[in-house]
Amino acid sequence: MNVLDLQQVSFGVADKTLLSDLSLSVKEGQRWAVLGRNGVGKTSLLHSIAGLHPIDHGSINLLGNNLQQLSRREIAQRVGVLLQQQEQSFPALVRDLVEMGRHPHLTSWQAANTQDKQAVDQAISELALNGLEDRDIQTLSGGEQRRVEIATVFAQTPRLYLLDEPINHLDIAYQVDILQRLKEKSELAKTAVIMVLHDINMAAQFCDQCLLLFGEDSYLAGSSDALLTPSNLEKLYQQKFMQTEINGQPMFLPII
Amino acid sequence: MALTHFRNPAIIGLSLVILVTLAGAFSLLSGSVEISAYDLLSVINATDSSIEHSVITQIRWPRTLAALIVGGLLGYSGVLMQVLLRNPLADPYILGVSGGASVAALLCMLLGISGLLLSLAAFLGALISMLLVYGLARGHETWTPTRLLLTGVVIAAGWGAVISLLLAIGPATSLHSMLFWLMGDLSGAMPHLSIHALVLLLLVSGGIFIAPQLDILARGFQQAAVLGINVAKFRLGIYLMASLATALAVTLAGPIGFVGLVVPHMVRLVLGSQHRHLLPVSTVVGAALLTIADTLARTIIAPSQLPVGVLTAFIGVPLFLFLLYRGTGERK
Repeated sequence: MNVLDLQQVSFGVADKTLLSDLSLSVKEGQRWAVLGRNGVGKTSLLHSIAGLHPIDHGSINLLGNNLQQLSRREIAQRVGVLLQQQEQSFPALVRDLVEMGRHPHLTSWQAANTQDKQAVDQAISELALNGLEDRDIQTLSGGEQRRVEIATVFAQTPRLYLLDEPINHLDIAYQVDILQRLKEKSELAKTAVIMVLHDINMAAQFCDQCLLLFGEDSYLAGSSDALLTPSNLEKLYQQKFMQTEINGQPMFLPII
Repeated sequence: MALTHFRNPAIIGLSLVILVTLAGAFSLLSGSVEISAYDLLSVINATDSSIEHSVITQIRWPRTLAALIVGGLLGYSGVLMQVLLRNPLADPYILGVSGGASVAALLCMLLGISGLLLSLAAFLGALISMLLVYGLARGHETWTPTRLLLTGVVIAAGWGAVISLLLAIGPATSLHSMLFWLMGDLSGAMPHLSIHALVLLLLVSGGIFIAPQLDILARGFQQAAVLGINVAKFRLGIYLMASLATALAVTLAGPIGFVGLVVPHMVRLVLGSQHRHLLPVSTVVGAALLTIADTLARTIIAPSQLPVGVLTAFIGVPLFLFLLYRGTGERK
């Protein structure tokens, strides 16, 4: 079953069209990397899929439902979004923040049940936040805050993960760990993942599908093996790349 | 800071009851007529016709109740405004609600209107200002906190100019009462306090009911939308609740500064940001703080009275600074 279907979707910001006629099918178990230069519309695309940004044309189908017919709550029960930046203006405990991920699954003032508590506990331990649960978010480092935000999305247990630069601010061990966990989630739990990444090699290693946004309405979508080539990357970033292989894994290095 | 230690509802509830009882008793017992705690108990006897009895029931109790209600409304409204504007510096008056009320009230004073009619006019002025700010901030697109804040601040500045104009052209005889009104004062007529109390109770209950959503909204509007909240509708609801609370408070007592800004902060420093605690506790602490301030305002230089707004600033500023610096000190 397709988790997500985009049909001839167009959207833009202000008067500028960012993408037109984008068609895409995302299936269970797939992990998509969205790659492209700054300002090309990667974040706007994730926001459109999450219903946060209106589309000008086309249709978005989420697990067989037209996105526009779903309420915010119904979308939140199916889609988990990690925003690119979150501003922590008010204090809050780490555990309370992770518990917010269960909000779409609870009716007003319904107490969290065992399943909810389990999801929260699991998310906390997956992001190695044990011991930080009673800390105020404003006292944590940037990387720790990012892990709390990711844990909130994990606790939400969505069918579709939309992650905007999930591994920014994280040290390399957490980067690998989190991408590995997303891989397991997509394979075991019939979920799909779409993430904006700037690290081509991480994309090549953890994402089986790629969406390359070239700007000016042109894009390529398909398997990472086929699309991640030095010539495509050069067209994507206006930067020359060379490809090498380590243990059967393609690696891309910018030629300086 | 280990916020969890303060989260025991029984301890929170008990300390609040003690706080309000003490503040209320302080207010009822202070004044030119000496009243003992024993006299206070005798109030239950309705047939009592002593002077003490009528002082308590007809003078002090209405004033104490008014202080409790206004303080509660301001503490409550401050919490909501801060979430709505995503700015811990927001206070109930920041969006110009009090300006609208003040202009209407001063106009009434110039025309020689007083009492209930003045209160009604002030409430109407607050409502007009509220709708004006909301309508302008909305424009043709969705409003951001910044847009709402700027619209409110500009409208408030506009009201400020009108207020200055009214003060400049007003006759000298009414200047004193106008200034007292503008500084926030609880000595005026107190009509329909039971209605105000009921509205406050309803507002607080409603606030507690939506507390989980307020917690999420405080994390940012986009994050709230992502977690399943219809942000546009929800924000409008909060705006109306906060504005109604402010309008009622201003109508009763004029614009009293600092309570709405300082109280939510103090409570947040001690209890954290969970709104199911923050909202009711800020309401009760605001009520107690204003009652204490008002008691001091009318006794400190008796027989003259100070406007209570002056006292709230004198108490609020050092208290807030103390808590702020103590709080950040512990965090390190």
